[in-house]
Amino acid sequence: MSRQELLEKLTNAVLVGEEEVAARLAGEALQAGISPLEIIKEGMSPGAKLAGEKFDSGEYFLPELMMAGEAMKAALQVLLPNMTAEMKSEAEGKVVIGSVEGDVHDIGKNIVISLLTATGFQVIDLGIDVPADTFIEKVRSEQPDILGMGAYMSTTLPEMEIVMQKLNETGLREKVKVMIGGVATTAKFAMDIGADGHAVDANEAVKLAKSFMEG
Amino acid sequence: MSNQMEAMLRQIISKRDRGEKLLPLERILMVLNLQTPDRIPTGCFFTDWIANYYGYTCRQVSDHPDLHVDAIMRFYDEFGMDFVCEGIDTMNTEIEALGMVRLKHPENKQADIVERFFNGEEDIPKLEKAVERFHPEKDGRCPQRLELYRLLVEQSAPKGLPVIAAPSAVFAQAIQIIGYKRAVQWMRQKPHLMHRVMEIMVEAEIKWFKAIAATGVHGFISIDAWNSVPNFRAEQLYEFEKPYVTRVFASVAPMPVIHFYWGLRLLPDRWVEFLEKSAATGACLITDLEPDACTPPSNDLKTFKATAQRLKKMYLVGLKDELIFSGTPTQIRERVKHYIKELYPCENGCMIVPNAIPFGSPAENVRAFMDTIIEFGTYPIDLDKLS
Repeated sequence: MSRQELLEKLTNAVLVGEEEVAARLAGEALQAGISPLEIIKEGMSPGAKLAGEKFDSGEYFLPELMMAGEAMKAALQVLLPNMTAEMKSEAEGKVVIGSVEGDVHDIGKNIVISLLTATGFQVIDLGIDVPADTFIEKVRSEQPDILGMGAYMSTTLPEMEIVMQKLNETGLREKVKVMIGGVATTAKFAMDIGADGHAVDANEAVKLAKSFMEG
Repeated sequence: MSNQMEAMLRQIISKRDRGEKLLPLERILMVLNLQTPDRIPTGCFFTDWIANYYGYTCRQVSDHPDLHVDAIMRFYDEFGMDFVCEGIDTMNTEIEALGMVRLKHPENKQADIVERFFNGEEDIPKLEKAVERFHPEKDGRCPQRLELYRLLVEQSAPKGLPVIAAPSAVFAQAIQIIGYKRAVQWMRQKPHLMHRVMEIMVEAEIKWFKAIAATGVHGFISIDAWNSVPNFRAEQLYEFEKPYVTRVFASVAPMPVIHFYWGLRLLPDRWVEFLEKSAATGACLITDLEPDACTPPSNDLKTFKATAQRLKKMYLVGLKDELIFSGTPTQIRERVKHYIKELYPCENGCMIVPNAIPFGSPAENVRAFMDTIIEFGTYPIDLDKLS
């Protein structure tokens, strides 16, 4: 199989959400001497982009997007041990992301992580139910370009405000771009709490992250 | 329709025609039978806001049904809504009682799943046994919910207030037990397993519905957060949700069941089909809600109402949660007026609701909603006044 064929098959495996196939093809691509970053950029990322476009057009729904995300995750698990620190530093940007305290929902967040990673971002996943102090500590220690917060219930929205206050109090606010998402959030809420942006879905999150990096 | 119901309806219609104010239960009975009461009925789903407003935490009312009833009765007195569907932890009481999940119970938020005890196909027999053993009168927090309904029947029904129970829906329970990712994978790759889980959960849900029915409630609202596009494709819901929901509703027939969903606007060519499939489950109405960011403003209310009337169902339109939470009274007033205008003359089975009142919403917004319903939703609806 040629290099192009291999990467096209990987693109398709991500697009249709075939985890095992995506992982196998990622392994084959490594064995064929293709670098992990090239595999991500030329194989996985196009699949993620197409999945996002189909979601935007109403052809794909969350199940398809989630399966595409899982296929990417499976392929990434094969690639990451083979990525040097230098390769990781060539990432588009660094993102710290989590669901705020009291919120244990993560489907949307996980899709965002998969899409961001496939697009070349380095993503640190703080998980769910993340206290405000943990967000602050990670922004301080990891020095990300972007902080992403998710809230999926109106009851957990106030936690985002607390994080923003603490970023201001600790002098970290100017050092990081903040984006929020999740069904409980709105663009108005993002503006009210002083976040830099709001994403209505995973696709928007990637576009927003890219726009932040372009400055 | 039974003779008793016919006689009751005739009395209520006479009362309306004499210009007398109807009781909330009378209004609901009228719209259930596709009649037109004295004003558009309204009510809200879930009671976490209500509990907080009257000084209780979610845990307090969840653990103490008498406090829950106190908050609900005070809400009726102060705001004058026609129904309240109680709901603290409505999405996961049953699955916790089955022992299939471990929940975190924050003091003042809805409980949520922190651990699942279902790890794959090998755990289906475990689920089956859990459902066989399930005893709603004894297990988990089900007894507190049943006690709440008994107290509401005792205290609110004599005041002409309907008691509408809020169990979770069979599909929501299944998805929460097995996990969303596994549900998506099984629907695609192993549909027979998904069907097997749904069959098992129908048995659990029927037990729960029947236990609730025995307390004397007037009807149900079957709570689901998963049964909508884009969480699943419409075809997946038609195969894995609708047939099972139908069986649960049939188990308590002829008691009325409200069942809502959203994402209609994500089915631009097929939303009427979705409503038809939903109506065919036996739910007493069709719904058009704007509860989350997935649903753009639902503006085709004329088609919505026409569909309801063709299907001979009530029709319920709900406000966007965000509006009650962060809108102004003026915005809420204009939105409700818009709904009334679009549904004019709002005859034969119309309900307009604020949906759930989100935690932290200003009381003035709830009042604005209610005041608008009373001012513009009293029959006969005055179109000139609305304009």
